[in-house]
Amino acid sequence: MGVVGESVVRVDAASKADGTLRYTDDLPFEGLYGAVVRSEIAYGKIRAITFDASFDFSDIIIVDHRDIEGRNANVVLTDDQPFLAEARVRHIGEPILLLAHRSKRRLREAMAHITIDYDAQEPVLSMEESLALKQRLYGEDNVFKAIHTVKGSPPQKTGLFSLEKTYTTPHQEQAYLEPQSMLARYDGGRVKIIGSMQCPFFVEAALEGLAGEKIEVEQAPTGGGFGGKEDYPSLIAGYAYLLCKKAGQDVKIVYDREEDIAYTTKRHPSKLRYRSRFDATGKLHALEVDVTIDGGAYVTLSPVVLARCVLHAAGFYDCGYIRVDARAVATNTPPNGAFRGFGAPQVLFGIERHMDDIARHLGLSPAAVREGNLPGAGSVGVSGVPIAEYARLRDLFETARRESGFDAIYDAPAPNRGIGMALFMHGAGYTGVGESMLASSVSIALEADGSVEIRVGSVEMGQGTLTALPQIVADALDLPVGMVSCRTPNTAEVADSGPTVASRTVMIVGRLLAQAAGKLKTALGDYGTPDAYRAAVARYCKSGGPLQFGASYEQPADILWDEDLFYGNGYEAYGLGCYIAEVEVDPVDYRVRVVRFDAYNDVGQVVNPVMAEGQVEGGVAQGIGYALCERLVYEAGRVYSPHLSDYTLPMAPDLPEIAVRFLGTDGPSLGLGELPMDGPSAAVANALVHALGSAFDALPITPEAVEEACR
Amino acid sequence: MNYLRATNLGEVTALLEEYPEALLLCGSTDAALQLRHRPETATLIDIHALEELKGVSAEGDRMRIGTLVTLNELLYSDAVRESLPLLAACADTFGSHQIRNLATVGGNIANASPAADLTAALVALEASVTLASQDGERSVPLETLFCGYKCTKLDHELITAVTVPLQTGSWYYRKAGMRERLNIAKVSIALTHGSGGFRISGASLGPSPVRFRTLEALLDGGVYDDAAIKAALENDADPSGGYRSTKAYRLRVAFNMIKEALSQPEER
Repeated sequence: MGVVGESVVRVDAASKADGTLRYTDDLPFEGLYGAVVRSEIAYGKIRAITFDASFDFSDIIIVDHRDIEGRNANVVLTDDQPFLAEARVRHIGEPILLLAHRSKRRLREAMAHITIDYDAQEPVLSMEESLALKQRLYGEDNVFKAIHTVKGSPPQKTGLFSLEKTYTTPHQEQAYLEPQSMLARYDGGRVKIIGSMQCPFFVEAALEGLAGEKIEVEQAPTGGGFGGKEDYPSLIAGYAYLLCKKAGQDVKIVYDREEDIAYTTKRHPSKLRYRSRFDATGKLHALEVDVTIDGGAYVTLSPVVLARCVLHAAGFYDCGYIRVDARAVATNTPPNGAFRGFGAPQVLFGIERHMDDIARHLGLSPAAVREGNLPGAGSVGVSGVPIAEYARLRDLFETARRESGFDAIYDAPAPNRGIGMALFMHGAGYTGVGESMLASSVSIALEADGSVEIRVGSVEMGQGTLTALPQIVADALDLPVGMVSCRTPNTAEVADSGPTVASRTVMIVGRLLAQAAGKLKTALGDYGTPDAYRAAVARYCKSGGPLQFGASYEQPADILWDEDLFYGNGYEAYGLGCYIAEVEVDPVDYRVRVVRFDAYNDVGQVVNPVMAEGQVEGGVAQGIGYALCERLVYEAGRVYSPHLSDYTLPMAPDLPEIAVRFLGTDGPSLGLGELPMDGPSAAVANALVHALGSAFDALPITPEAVEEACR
Repeated sequence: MNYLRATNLGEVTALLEEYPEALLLCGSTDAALQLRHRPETATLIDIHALEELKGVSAEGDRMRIGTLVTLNELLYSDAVRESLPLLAACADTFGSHQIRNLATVGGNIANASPAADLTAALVALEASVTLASQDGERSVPLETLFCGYKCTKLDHELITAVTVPLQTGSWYYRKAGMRERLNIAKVSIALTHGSGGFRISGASLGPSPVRFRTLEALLDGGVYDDAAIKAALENDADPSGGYRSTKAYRLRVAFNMIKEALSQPEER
């Protein structure tokens, strides 16, 4: 029947459009609202907590760290982050106490009657202050994780040109539609967690440490994640759990937008120094990259974000000597975390701006410089192994360059207009040994009526899992897609297919599901028609064979990885992109409008073309926002304006028509989720450099920055 | 909090006498924010029901716009589009369709935000406001209503209407923001040019909107020199540099807008 490759209508489209879908805050609820009392200072010790004697706290549930029965540590990669501060606070907004009450108003009043005295210390508010050890926040050097990798040896050739440039990228807010929300249900001493999340099994693991026992965790329909619901929900689930356990009632915590913007995780800011040596044609001979990212107050996911930074820092260009020195540092700001692209958008901005700077330095076309550095059969990437995708990358680049008419527009630009390009890749799946450590498994269940239920922890968060995974299973079984559905991700009922991150759902989980479906098909024997299928199911069910079929991840034999040497295949496969932007600068108000955007992608077989196009359009919109307008200002460690009125996101009228093309669709399906976030910022910035002839090395490029450059 | 709903003007003025610190609810699009910044506000007086504060009517060479007229009513009023095209153009850049359905002329003025779109346009149009209290009515030029950042001279009074001379001659209006729609003005310029000369004002170019009189005089004198325009703007405008934009950006863009206005054909 071949439903893979068809634009099957999203199974959740109607309920989202007509408003009948129930998000966490819409679920029937008779219980208490939870609230978080947070640190008002960025760094220091808690001296005393005073409850105003004139206020009646008797009906308020109050939780502090002493109420934790298990460990007061949100274990992600390390255990440095407490659920609730004990003696010391490390960022503004750090949770200290939890309150619950039936009335939100009474909660607000109660919060106003709690005073926390601190011994405030000078906080570390920037990466520079952190590396200068203004305060010792973590280890000996404030470095959460450092990675150094060298490939090849420095060129002996003389007469090379050299260029050194520093590029910076800022925080970015995920701005999902639905803020962080969590509901803890109380049932006779047992607690069940339901909420907005990407990774139910992460939440389960975090709660197991907190509670000392396994807690059932269920994903509610989730109104967007973009990485913001990868690690953070473990914390808010912990808060709901603690309050629920103490109150003996349901507890719901729903952040308002202000709280969400101010205190939940953001994209890591970065400082990227690129030093290159190249010949007169622009051919790279040496590339030295120095990457620093701001992890915020706790380790969280920073080491893995940093690993992705390193593996994407040089792009896929052919270069005999590549050295990357990277570090994630501690500061007294709220912890940064996962965001679509996970470190790649930062460094790909760096390398792709740098390729244009090399071209500018030599007076050459940026397309020609990229062409001269395309990898070939013998080219080796930053981690020392051949770039297997070289032919597909060349095909993508040449097609994009030709079809977009890049050269003609670049050579004869219109006034105030410019064209820019970004050529990039995104490693799909977990970095390094991540996938084999996850050892994901999947399960499908055959029902008596012949329908099939997918039982995995991979979630729908707007990207189309509920539609794409049934397409893959239906395709493998030659069934109509309507006969396959997904069970609600609940840690007590589904297989742990790993977190819904890293562009891995279709590639890794989809592949495992196809394997599981293959086992079911073998068990059923031959069937050609729907009638024959039903007969085969009836026969099989009568035979008493197992009704569940599973598969587990096994690392492909040709993948090797040495974490200590940072050597090997960082990823099983890469999605590829060549994005081209044309911008126009308004000479009156210096606003930059992206007037045309061509997104050429190679992600192998596209499972659902319309949904895939939507993913690219959304990623490009997010990338354009990152490039031009999204700006989060921190003052003394506090988000200055945590409102969407000032955190300006691009809207439909701000975006051009985005032309989306997919090449290389005959290969296996690769990840698509994060790729479209990686390329737009460099393409837009390069176009702006072309338009104005000025350097634009720091994101976001606001009209104020353009005005300054035009002075 | 005390919520009071008035049904006629007499009731409102009486309530204002009794609760001078009350917040009047007009379109209410900014009320939640106001309350956050003024938590001491104890009384809300809702005036939505007052029919006498609604409607647009031509009165000779002037247009009377009731305080409860919404931004969409302005935008879609044939009379406003024909006789006050600058005001219609301004309304067109205001908020979103949903916000324009609620936001009112009187609310935009009384809110006294330096970024208020309509207020700057009305100042350039030489509008006056009618104020009512227990003591009766008075009319003052809109420009004189303000006493600084988010400050008005309203004294136990409400704004009942705005009266605007019908536009003659040419005009220019432009607003700069981060994106196409839903912008809080970083800078806007409203300009008219008729037999009486230039009238120029702008949003986010000072604590409250004022006529740019040095600039008006300069242009009335026929001096279009860049340096002189810049100097005049720096004299008239006093933009803040803060979170939303820089002082340099605001002044430069205001200058660019003035130049753009002067370069446009006169027949508009």
